[in-house]
Amino acid sequence: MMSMNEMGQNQARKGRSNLQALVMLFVLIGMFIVLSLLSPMFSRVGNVINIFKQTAINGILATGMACAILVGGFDMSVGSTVGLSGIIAALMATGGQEGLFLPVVCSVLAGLLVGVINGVAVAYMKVPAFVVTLGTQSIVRGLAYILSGGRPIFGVSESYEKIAGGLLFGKIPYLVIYYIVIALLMGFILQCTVYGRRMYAVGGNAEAARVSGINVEFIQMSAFAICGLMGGIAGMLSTSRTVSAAPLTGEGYELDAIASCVIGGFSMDGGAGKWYGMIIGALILSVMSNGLDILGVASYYQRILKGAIIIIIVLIDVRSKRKRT
Amino acid sequence: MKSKAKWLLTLLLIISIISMSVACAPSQPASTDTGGEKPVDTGAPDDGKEPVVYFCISHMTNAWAITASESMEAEAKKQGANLTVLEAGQDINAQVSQVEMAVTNGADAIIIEPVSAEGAIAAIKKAEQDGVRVIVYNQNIADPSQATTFVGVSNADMGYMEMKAAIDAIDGKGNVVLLLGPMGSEGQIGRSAGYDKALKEYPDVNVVFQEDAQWTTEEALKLVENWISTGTEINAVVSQNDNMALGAIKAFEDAGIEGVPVYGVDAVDDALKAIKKGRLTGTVDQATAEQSRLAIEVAIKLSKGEAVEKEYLAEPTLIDINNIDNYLTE
Repeated sequence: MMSMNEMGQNQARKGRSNLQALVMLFVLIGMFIVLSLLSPMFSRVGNVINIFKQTAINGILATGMACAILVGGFDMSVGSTVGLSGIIAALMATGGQEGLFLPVVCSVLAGLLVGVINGVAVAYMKVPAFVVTLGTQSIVRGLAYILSGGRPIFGVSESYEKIAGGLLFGKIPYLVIYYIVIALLMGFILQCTVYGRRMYAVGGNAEAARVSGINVEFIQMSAFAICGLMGGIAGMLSTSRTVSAAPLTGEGYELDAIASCVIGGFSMDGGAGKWYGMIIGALILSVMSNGLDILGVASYYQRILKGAIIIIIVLIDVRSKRKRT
Repeated sequence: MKSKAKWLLTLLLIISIISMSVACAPSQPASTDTGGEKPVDTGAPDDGKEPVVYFCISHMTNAWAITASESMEAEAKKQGANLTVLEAGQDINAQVSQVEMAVTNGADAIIIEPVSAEGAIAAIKKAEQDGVRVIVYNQNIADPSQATTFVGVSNADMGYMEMKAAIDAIDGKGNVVLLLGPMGSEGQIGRSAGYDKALKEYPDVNVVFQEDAQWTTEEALKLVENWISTGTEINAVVSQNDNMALGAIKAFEDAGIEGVPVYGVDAVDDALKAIKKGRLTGTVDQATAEQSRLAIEVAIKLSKGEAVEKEYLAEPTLIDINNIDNYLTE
């Protein structure tokens, strides 16, 4: 049974993360207005499409990461998964191989497999998520190097390039469409399905969820599987976007994905976070990077800004937690 | 019982990972190009014993490093040296112990491509004190006097050659953007110095954007997309490696902009193909195979006790549509 105190804490956590997602929405709008004033080029349609293109890969990773965070874990291996699945896709889409089925399916499945391995180790073998995914991060990166022979792979087929690069209505890249569809679908799953609600329940209080008949291990495992799956999809799309794949691709992406979720109001304790938070979080990161590039601010300052924003948000999180106890 | 199950699952995990790598292995591309020259086995030299040479390379994780180690092995076979390649995985501590190991294993000469310009010095000094001659390869150390000799190519020469070609392509005036390697890396510092030298000669050429793109295609793609967004006219792109140059090409293609010359460095296979197709304008070859030939030649000389010079520089070459057919082997 959940004690009254715990229940109160859970309620508070959820309320706070909803509030944070809303606050971040205003931050995003504010950033957009300020950057538009600073540079008239910023708010042009072409650049807004650019921003969404640059959000898509990290945004897709963030939707997966949100699941892992919701059940109380996180996934350090997802950047490596992007590298591996990108390499697999590139190997199957270069050298005159025009087919799309093999590269797409194999790269996405590779991601799913990594996710399932992570999930089984975390949920059933009770190894801490950080340890498991740090291990798979290294293993998967190693596989990417072995498969590629250490070399970047260029020259994917034109049909493969169209997967992400093709345009809807001659204007909107498919890459952006995929992101919107995946994010909305994930929003629907989290918000409107029993499965989604169970993820919140497991992350909020695993024991209470178990008592009420939820298969806690399965929910945890599947959340990591989804995270891996998104890594696979992101890698597959990244290869199409850059028309190339390198074994190093995706290094550090897991941190941006985690940052997007944290900025968007997902609690690292699990069980709390609004689905639109992960979209807002991902957009904030890419609006910042795009806007500062346009203003000509060196990337080194951008790193400092990004880090500062993350810390400030977590600081607010910690402070409000302290007030309740 | 419970711990047994845990072990079983761990085993399962390992097996599934291994089977995954095995299942995917056949799709690996054959990597047999050795940088132009074919290895020829000429047998042992006159005294019947080949000199023992160790090649300590910083990592084996990109196209250049693989070309370097493959060409080195090919040259060792050709010129008659017993070569062992040791890879440090970008870890300076690993490289230091590898140098020590080479000394204890009776190396006649050590060729080292240092992980760091500072960190490798102590190990090199120690090896020289123990009587093993050290040849620094491709990337020089902070204090070149500590090693016997340096074999490489001047990054400044390559940068100058590349920038000069780009400036010629835009008739000596216009806006250029620069895609740089990580600030402070030797390649970046040297190539940027070469850029500056060429830019000084042409005051009508303006650098409108320059940024660190971490040697990667995706970072370069993002940057150039954003630069195009600013509406600033870009007349040429000068990139410090080919991966980033290819990202720039993709950004222009996506934006529907044609005719902007893009230059790179490294002459990787796909850059050569891109030149042939007219997508990439040019690249500078750092003559890796020639560097390897020189390194092995010097190593053999040293093992015979012959005197060598303090520095050997291979000549970089500009590859563009005019001479591409000499480099594309297919």
